[in-house]
Amino acid sequence: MKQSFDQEIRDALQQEPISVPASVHERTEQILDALPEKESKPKLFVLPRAVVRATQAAACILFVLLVLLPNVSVAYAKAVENIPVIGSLVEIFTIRNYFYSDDRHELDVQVPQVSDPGNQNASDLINKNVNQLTAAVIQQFYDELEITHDKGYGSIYIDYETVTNTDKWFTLKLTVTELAASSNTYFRFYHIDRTTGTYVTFGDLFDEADYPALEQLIIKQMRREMDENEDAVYWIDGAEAGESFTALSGTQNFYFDDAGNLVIVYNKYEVGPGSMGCPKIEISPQDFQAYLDHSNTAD
Amino acid sequence: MYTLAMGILKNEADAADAMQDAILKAYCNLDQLKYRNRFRPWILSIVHNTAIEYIRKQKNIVDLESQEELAAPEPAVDTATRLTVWEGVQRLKLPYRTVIILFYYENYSVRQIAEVTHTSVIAIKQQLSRGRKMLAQLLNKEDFVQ
Repeated sequence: MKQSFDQEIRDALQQEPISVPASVHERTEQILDALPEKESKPKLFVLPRAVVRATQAAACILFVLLVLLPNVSVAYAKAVENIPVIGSLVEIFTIRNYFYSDDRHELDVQVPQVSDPGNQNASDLINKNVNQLTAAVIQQFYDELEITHDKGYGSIYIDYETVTNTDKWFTLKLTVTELAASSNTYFRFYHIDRTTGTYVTFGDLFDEADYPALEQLIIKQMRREMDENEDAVYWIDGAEAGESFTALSGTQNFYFDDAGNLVIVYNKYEVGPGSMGCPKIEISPQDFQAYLDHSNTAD
Repeated sequence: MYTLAMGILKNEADAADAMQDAILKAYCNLDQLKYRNRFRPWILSIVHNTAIEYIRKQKNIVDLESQEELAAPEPAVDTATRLTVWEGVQRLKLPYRTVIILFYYENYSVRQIAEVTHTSVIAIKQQLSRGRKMLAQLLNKEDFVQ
């Protein structure tokens, strides 16, 4: 396997359309020499293909991370000192990058991929949703680029972070930032209940009949914040009049923080002026638990 | 691999680093390659992704790039040599640079480029068309666009 891999790389390098410096040939040979042999041993019993792949990939990654890279790259050896021990149960990594830059426009998109072998359906669903969203945003960027060309300005950035990663729960946060005449930021949160292996939305956790009660908890929290901070402004009078900016839906953005609070996340301008950014409203476990239990009981 | 890495990063040392990383990633994930005859587009896809990751991590490359473009003289009018065309290609923005390199230097089809860059065929056609126009402007040669 290694021999044919080496040969493919050498052939590719020989057929490069532009001249390859000798130093690059040398470095390539060094890397190929340093790669470990992938041995195929007699099969005593048959493991699922996914397990075999995961094990091989993990072993190879460990070899590269701990043995090979520190020896071939000084920069990597220094950088790796700051990487914490990986104990996460769900793996998340950048599967694709999109980048564009000119004097007036910039696109910088990182597309994450979630890998949770024990909860394949849920992680597949997250990946599908993430791909759809990022593809739509990128397409929009290029469409607008075609139209505005050398006249307008515009940048789009998509980044992600893991909010929660435990043996019970996983939350991925996607941040989309659009810069044009003004800036706009919005989030998407994706959750896996790892105890049931399911992809979870707000609508799965709370019964729609309880949304009005939860909205009242949110409004109460907003009022408290406005009382304590004179700069805080929420558009809640409209909400009380029935033109609710805080109306919850089954796709409401949320996550659970370290203290167990339910954090409702709004996009910019959704419940307040731009100066409020993307508001986060915390609801304590004591307050939301009853509704959560009721929803579960109802199911 | 080197042509693509060099085309994206425009720097020999970074291109060599990106190639090195890409080879390591490819070897670790070799099991994901289903068909051996797909090796070339598969590894180019990894090189592409790795090079873009380099640009992001070393944002100063982009800054240097824009500085170079502000300061650099217009490309030579003599388009007879391949080297001059290559210089013109290197002056293109991403992703047009990538698409032009894969199409004209690696002789990839639009569909194959879409596969390598994880982009739609329609987007690649748009980028190729626009990249050609940009390159033609740079090279000051109208009949380049066909």
